[in-house]
Amino acid sequence: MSKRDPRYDPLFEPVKIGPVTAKNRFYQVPHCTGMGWMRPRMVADLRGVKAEGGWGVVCTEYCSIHPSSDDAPYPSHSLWDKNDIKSHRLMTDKLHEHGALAGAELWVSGSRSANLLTREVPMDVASLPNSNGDPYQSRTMDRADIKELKRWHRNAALRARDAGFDIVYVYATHEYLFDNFLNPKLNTRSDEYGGSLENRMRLVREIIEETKDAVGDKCAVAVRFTVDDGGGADGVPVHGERMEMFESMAELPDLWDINISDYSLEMGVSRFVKEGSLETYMSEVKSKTSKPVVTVGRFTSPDTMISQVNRGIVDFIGAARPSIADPFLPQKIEQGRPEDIRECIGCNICYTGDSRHVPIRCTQNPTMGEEWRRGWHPEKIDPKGSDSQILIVGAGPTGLEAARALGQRGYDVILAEASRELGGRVNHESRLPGLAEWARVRDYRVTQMAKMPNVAVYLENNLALDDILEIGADHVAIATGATWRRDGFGSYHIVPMQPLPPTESTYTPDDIMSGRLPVGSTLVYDDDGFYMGSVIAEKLRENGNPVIYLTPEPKVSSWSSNNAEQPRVHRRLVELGVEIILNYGLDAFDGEQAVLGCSYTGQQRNVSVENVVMVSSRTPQDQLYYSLLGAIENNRPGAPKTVKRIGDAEAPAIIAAAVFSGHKYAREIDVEIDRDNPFKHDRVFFEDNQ
Amino acid sequence: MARNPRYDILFEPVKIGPVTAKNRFYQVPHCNGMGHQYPSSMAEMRGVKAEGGWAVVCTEEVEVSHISEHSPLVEGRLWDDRDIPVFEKMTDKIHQYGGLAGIQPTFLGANAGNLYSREIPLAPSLRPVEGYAPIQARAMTRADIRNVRKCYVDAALRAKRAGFDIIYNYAAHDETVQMHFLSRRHNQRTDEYGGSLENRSRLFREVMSDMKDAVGDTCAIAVRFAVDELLGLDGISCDAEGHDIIEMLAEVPDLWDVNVSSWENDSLPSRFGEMGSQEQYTSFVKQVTGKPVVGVGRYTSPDKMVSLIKSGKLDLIGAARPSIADPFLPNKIDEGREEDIRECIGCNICVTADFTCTPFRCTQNPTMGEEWRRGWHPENIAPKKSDDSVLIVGAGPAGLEAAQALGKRGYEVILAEVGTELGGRVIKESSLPGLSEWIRVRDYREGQLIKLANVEIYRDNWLDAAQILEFGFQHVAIATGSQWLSDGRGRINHFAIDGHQQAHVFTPDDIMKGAVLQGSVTIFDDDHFYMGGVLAEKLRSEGHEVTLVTPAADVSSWTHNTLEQERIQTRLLEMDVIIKAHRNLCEIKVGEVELACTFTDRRERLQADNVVMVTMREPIDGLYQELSDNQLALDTAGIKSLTSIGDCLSPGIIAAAVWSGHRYARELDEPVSDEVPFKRELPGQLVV
Repeated sequence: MSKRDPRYDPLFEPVKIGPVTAKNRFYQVPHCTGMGWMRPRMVADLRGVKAEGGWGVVCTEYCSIHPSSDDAPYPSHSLWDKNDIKSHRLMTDKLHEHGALAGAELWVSGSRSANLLTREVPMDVASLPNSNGDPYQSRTMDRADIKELKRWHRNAALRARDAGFDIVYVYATHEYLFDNFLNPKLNTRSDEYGGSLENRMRLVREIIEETKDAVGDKCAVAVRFTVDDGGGADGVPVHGERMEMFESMAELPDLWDINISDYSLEMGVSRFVKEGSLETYMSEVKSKTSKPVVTVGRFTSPDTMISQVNRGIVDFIGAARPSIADPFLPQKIEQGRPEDIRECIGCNICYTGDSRHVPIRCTQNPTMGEEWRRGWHPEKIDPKGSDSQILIVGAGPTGLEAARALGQRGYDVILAEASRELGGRVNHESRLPGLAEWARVRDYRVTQMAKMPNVAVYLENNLALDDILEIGADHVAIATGATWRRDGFGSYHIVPMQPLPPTESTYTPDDIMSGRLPVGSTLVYDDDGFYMGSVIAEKLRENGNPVIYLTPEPKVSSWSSNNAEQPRVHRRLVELGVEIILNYGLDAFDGEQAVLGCSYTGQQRNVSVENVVMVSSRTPQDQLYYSLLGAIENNRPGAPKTVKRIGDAEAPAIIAAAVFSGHKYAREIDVEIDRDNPFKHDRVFFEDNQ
Repeated sequence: MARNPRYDILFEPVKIGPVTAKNRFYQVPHCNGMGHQYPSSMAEMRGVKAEGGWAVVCTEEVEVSHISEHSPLVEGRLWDDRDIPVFEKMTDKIHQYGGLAGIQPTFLGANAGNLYSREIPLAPSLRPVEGYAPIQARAMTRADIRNVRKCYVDAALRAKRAGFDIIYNYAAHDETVQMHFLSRRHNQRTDEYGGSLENRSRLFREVMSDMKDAVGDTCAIAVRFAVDELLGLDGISCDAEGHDIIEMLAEVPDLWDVNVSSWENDSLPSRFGEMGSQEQYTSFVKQVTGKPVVGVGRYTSPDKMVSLIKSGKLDLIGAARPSIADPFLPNKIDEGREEDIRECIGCNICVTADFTCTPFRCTQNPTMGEEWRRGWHPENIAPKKSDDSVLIVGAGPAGLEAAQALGKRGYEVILAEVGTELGGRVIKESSLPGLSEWIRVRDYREGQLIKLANVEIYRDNWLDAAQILEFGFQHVAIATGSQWLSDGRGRINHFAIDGHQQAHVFTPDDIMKGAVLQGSVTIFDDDHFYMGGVLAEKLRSEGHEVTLVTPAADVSSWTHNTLEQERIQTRLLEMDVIIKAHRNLCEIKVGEVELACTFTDRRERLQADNVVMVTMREPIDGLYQELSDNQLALDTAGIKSLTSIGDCLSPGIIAAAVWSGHRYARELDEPVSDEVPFKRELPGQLVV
């Protein structure tokens, strides 16, 4: 193995954090996983794999200190009682095995949580409506509540220590309770916890002191804190009072984990936000404290990281998403193979796990969330189970991942691609406005396969049935993707439109991506609900077309609410001068007039427009699959033992699902899988913990 | 007390294939937000219903395989043998009380994105999954169909082992693959499973005969079938294919459980439908089949139930919501105390639990979901632990519930109400369009209080702090409610809106008190539950031009969770209410308001003679504050505890107010601790 580039040596220096020492500067900041207390084994192995991959510090997601902070159905973790100590031990033991420090993010909610599970009345600095939209208001904390809260926080810190954590957080950001006490807009109290800056800081200060007092001898106390007041343009911080607050508490904790008030920038998608975007917010932070500082910035480049450290912006390279896309990122730098890093593409599919209350997944890393339940490791895979030859037809995200993972297993693999380049939909989509980083899905896999002599790649090879039979591979996977439909079929029209709109003025995203662009005014009909409709609208505005964006949903790109980009998408379309029509489906189009139907009443209205782009649903390209099935049934010479359709050719979905499908195919070749019971899961048993 | 002989017919046994229900009360399958995540809670809740006299108690949807799972929704799970003990617990409890246990195995197909298992969803034909998740279901192959049938058979066998007496073949709510195959709009197949009704019903029939073969000797096979989807020609309807299917299979299952689809139409809230709203669609069924028929209609009146049986519309009185509001409904009729029934108000708060993936609650029945974890029983409550007396100030939902529950514990209670009428917010809100049934929250409690000699009610009684201190009670609960803010503060605005002090700015309280408005009205809804939409309906029907402004994407956004949103927005649009979504209210002037786009902050002006602010509420807690600020006076007066409850503690929904009052009553004289106040349900720590 090659050696680490000495330029990166400082990334591997140990850093003292109060009473504990991190072995290097790689720091997985707290991030949600869609697992929490409901799925403790899944989360323990997920974190454990990161420690194995070299992260010096690995933190939990938000851990509720008491039933009065209950974010259900969002899967938080908890530190309520002895059961939770046992549950967290599963994780801390694994981290310590690999020499990592374990951090626990203690969390107090306030009016952001409705306590739907525990039914406790939410408490906050004032009586505030639930910011998640649930019909509950918080009550104003009185002195007795504050006293009680401090005791609960202290007890949770003690439980964290007993669970083996090395770092205990005071979580004073993200519009949760401590943050709200700091906030002059929300904190209008007239007691010693409200009014002046000093009074508003009192609770946070007391909690830090209490936590140090409780566990400071053994554990470092970290504070997660926002250094700006929001309101500025991206990259232009308005620090307001925040710097003053920071300065006055600068030496109190053992570590500062810094973020900013605009969540959609802090964890922005790559469509809108690039690597290192918090730097301008951080510029003054380190000069005001002697304590180590960590922040995030979707860092995947070791050069950027080293520059952050060398220039004194941060002490630790904080990461959530890059550690999800590549749990072995630190080790790969250390071993002098940074080209092996699976770089985060900034699609925020990881975040949708939390939004949809299910385990996290990742576009780049198909093993994410599968570490425990399927035993998938991000870097290791079982060696091949036979000398079979495997043909993969189609080199989109699915075919590439299947070929790479099978190659890693040692199989003799042929990857055939009809076009001149590898990547399939990722090539096309990454050329759309803002999506350039998505090409990393292709780049990582192409780089890996280049190192594998057992993987043969054939470009411009549009295989027909006879070609495949001639190759005579043992197993064939059909990964030929899907094409966008032209007939409007989707969620609004569950049968094709009748009559069909005129072909010459109807376009699909495939047309647009392959360069067939409409002339004149164009209606983008988005019955898909994710990013494609809005990106096509943006592309056509760039092209100069007047654009109407139409959707039967009440929001632009409604599903994008799940990955935290929806408001930015809407703003972008407005800025580009796209006319937005919500709550209407496309009932008919004749080349001149589009007839729109109200999603609620069915009432119709007409819009004059010259072209329509249908963004509704896709058709799997699975003809080859069926011909091969026939060949197998008919025992044709050269027919494979098995044929499978994988990725979008099986069922069109997101890129993450396509990569996952390819990976799963590779994992399961020559492996006996119990089809009725293919993974373990954290199951609730009766009165198990009583 | 003896049962009224008029109701004897409701207590006749009914044979259902190889099993017999002891009476005609039938809890149809319903979700509860507990399922596999909170199985002990689920089992205990079902057991309490059996205890309350329901002859049949069913599960919720129960997933039969990881290849079709409903995450994040929390349903039942019977994926493999290890899931059997959960249901054994449930059936044991039901059998203990002589009930039959029913299970509804469910293969969801394109209704579920398989977000947890990451398997590809299946459907008769290619289609996007329900909602806008970026997932498409694939068209099922013959092997898939065989596998689905196997899943159902495996589930039926496991269900039998778990002790179930009735096993469902479920084709309702547009929810299962069987139903998707039946549907012309979902099934575009050209093989023997597509085309004619005979072909489209093939899977449905196969599942039925598979189940009969597997377990039909000892278990009844029930069908849950939607006879009408209210979609006209696009769907199944009771005068076409709905009828044909029942005719085709009339005598095949052991029981027909019939309803209308989808869920929005089946579980109609009282705002949009009264008791028995499905009869027009389902009443034909009994004429076509000789098998017992069960149907639902939010039936809470025993007279109505008797008439359904006598008129030959139903054999069994199906209930989901009425059995949630009152698990003891059958026993109360049996014991001749119909007036004790806690009637469902049709608010659909129970339904919200499914969408919020948390244990369900009920406005009328605060013990719902708490049976196991807190040991709360809907009818039994621990006797008092001291001879202390309790003063409750305020007779809204919280005060009423606290008084009746404390009264049942045996405490001496005085309930003091400033008004003449009891009920607080439910009096005002039940006078709004469509919400009249909500008054039942008061009616039940008032009915109970009248019987309690140890509870005294003082009406027209305004108490100040000095009087309370003089009274000599050991415990004081302040339940004085809350009031709507007029200054616009809420979710989106943390500061008051400019111009809010003007005379033409109103609150929901003003409107409910009968404020007279002249001219056009702009409602600013930053509350997002029912209030903004219902006021728009009221003011529009009184002839005002109405514009509803909301920062949300749609009207009454949270009512997606109560299955009402689509109906509310449609109704407002049809009444010509103008809807301005994604807008904040920035400034109020004379005759106009300024709005801002929530995304871009672009401004627009709107003509508005009046503005109604529906944003947030503030507790009316002056009395509580005054008392709590003077600990010395409390001590001197011998007041051991002073507590604020309900909206006075924190404004919420009516269900939360009732719950708060109930909790106060349960916890009086109980020790306070830092421990988690209920039993938790956690993954087994040592078992894989």
